[in-house]
Amino acid sequence: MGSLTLTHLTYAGAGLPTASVEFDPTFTVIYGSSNTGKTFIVDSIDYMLGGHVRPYIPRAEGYGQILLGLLLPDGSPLTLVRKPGGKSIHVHQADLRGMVHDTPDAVVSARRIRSRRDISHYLLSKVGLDDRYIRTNESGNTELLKLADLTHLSVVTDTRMIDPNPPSQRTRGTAARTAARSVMKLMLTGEDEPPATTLPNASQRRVQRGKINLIDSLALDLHAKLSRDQSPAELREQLALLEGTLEDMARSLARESEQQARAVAARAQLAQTDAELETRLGEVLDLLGRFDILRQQYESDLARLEMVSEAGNLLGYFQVGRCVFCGADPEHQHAQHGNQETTQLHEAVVVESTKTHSLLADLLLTLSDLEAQRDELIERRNALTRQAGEADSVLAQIEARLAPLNEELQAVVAERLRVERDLELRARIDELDEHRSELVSQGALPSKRVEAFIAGRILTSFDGVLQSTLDSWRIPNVEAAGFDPYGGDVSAGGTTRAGHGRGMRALLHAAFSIALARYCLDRRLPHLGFLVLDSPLVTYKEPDYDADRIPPNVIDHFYRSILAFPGQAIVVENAPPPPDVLEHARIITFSGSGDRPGFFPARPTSVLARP
Amino acid sequence: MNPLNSPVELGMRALVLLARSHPDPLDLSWLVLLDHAMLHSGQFDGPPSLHPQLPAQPGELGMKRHLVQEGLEVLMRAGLATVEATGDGLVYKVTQRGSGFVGILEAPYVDALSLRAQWAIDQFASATDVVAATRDITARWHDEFTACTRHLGISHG
Repeated sequence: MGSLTLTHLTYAGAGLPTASVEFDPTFTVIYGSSNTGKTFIVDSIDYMLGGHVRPYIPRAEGYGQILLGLLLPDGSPLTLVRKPGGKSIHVHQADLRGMVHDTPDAVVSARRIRSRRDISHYLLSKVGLDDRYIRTNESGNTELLKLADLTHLSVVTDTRMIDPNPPSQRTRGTAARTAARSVMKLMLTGEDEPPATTLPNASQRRVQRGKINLIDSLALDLHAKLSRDQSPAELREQLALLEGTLEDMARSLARESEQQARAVAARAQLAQTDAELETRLGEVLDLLGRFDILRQQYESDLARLEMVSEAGNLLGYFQVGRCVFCGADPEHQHAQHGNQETTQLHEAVVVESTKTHSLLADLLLTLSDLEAQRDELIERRNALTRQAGEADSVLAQIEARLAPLNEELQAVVAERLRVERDLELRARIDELDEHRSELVSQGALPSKRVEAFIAGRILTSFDGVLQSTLDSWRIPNVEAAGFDPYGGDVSAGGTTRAGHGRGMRALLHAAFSIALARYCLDRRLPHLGFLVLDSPLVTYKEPDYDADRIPPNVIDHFYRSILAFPGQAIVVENAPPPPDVLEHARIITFSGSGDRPGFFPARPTSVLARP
Repeated sequence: MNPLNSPVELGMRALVLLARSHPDPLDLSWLVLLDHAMLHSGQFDGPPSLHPQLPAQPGELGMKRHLVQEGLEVLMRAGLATVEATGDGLVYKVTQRGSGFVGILEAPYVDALSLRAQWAIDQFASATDVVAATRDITARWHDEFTACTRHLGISHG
C-alpha cells in the first residue's frame, strides 16, 4: 500500500499571474481571514481527484488550467491537469507548475467509466488498490473500489466537516451505508470482499437466513445453560473420574449399611429380651408380695395360738361351777369335763400350730426360691441394659460414619448430573453448528454478513486511537469515544456525533479522519496517505470555565498534535497556530491584503475589465 | 374346734383392753372398736400391725361383735371381768383377779397386745365419740376394699 503526497495546487491562465500553493510533505497550515480562497483550495483538490462539483469564485474567472502536483509512492512526480468544467484529466509524469502545453502521458476520464480509463482507476493502480472489491448492498453485490470512496476520508471539506451525516459515509442513504461499512472494513482490516460465485435467490436466502437466525438463537440459549466453560474432552474425563469415585463410594456405603442393618437387628433382639424379662420380673414381684402377706398371716397365727394355748391351760384350773369354756352348768358336766375341754383346746392348738408351721416352712422355701429368681432376673436385666447401651453407641458410631458418606455421595451424584447435562448440551450445540454450517455452505447470507463485520479487537484498538486523539486536544467531556461499525458514526461523551452541536461535530469529524489516517498509516493499511481538513476548529467554542481554571486551549493542542501525524497533513483554518508550531510547519497566510491577500494574486483592474 | 378367733382368744384380747383401760369400764361397742385398732395399729399411724392386712378384712366388724361377746362371757365365768348396768348401758370392768391373770401370761404376743391396747386407748377412748370413731373405721374399710378389688382387677359393682 503506497501513499500519495500532494505537492502543489496551481491555477494557470493565459496572460494571468499563476496562482499556486505549495504543500509541505508533512504539515501545511493555510490560515487567514474569511473570503480569501481557503475553502476554494480544498474544493479544488477534491475536484482534481475526480470530484463532481466545479469550484467557483469570481477571482477564478479566466483561469483555464487547474494543476495538482503529486508524488507517487515511489517518489516520482505526477501532475494532473484539468480544465474547469472539463470531463477529462490530463496526466503528466512530471512536476509541472505553470501553463501546460505538452502532450499528456495519459488522458483519463474524470468520471468513472466502464473501460476503467478514468482517474479513479489510474490513481488506485498507483497505490495498489485497483483490484479491491467492496460490497454495495445487503444481498452481497460487490463492485470495484473507487477513488471517491477514499478521497472523502482524506479531503474533508468545510461542509462535510459539520454535516450530521456519519464521517465514514460519503453520501446520505442506507445504500451508501453498506458501501461505507465495506470501505471501513477494507481500511481497518485490509480485507476486501470479493464477489461470491453463486448466490441463492432472494427467497431462498430469506428462508435460510430465518433458519440460521433461529439456530443462532437456539445455540445462544444452550450456551447460556452451560454451567461451566469446559471442553467436551474435559467433561468426558471428569465424568470418568466421577464414575470411579461413585463406584468406590457405593462399595463403602454398602459395607457400612450392612453393618448398620446387623447392629439394628441385634439391638431389636435386646429390646425384645428386655421386655420379656420385665414381664417375668413383674410376675415374680407380684407373687412375692402376695406370699409375704401369707407368711405374715402364718406368723401372726402362730403367735396367737401360743397365747390361746397358754390362756387355755391356765383357765383349765378354774373349777368353779359352770364350765369356763362352754358355760355348761355343773349338773350337766361329766366328770373330767373341764379337763376334756382343756385337752380339746390344747389338741386343737397343737394341730393348728403344727399345720401352720409346716405351711410356713413350705412358704418360706417358695419365698426363697422366688427371691432367688427375682435377684437373677434383676441381674440379667442390668446386664441387658449395659448391652443395650453398648449397642446404641455402636449404632451411633455407624451413623456418624454414614452421614458424611451420604452427603459426599449426593455431592458427587449432583456433579455427575451437571457434567452429563453439559455434555448433552455440548452435543446439541454441535448438532446445531453442523446444521448451521450446512446452511452457510449452501450460500446463505450470514456467512457473508459476518465477513462484513469488523472484529471487536480491531474496533477496540481503533477506538483507542480515536480516544487518544481527542484526549491530546484536551477537549472536555469526550470520554468513551468510539466508532460504531454499523451506523458508521463516531460518538463521544455518551452522545453520537450527529447528536452534538456544529462545533463538536466538526471536531469529532476531524478526530475521526485523523485517527483513521493514523491507524491505517501506522499499520500500512489502505489510505491515500494525505489529509486535508477544512475548518475543523472554526465553529468550536470552548465551554465556559471557572475563572480559577486554565482554559484547555483546544486550538493550540490541536495544532501540536498534528506535528506527530504520520502522513501529510494540510489544515485550512482561520485561527493561527501557536508559535511553537510555526517553526515546524509550512505556514501560508492569507491576510486579505498586502503581500498575499488570498489564493489568487491581485491583478490589474484592466485585466479584470477585459472582456 | 378352731382355736383362732375362739371365745378364749377373743376373751384374752378383751381382758388386755379392759386391764389397760382400768379403772375406766368399756362397753361392747368400744371393745369391738379398740380390738380392731389394737390389731391394725399400723393403719392408724400407730405401732406395726399385729395382724397382716388382708383384702378380705372388711365385714369383720359384724362378726367380731358376736365373738367379743362370747369372749366376755368366758372372762366373766372365770371371774376375770364383771359387768355393770349404768346410765351408759352395760359396761365391763376387769376384776382384780383379771389384772393378775394378764400379769402371769408369758406369751410374747400378750406383751405386744398390751402395748397396742395402751396405744389404742390413748388414741381413741379418751376423746373420741364411739359412733364417730366406728363410722370412721367403716369408711376406711370401704375405701380400702374398693382400692383392693380394683388392684386385683375384680370388677366391683
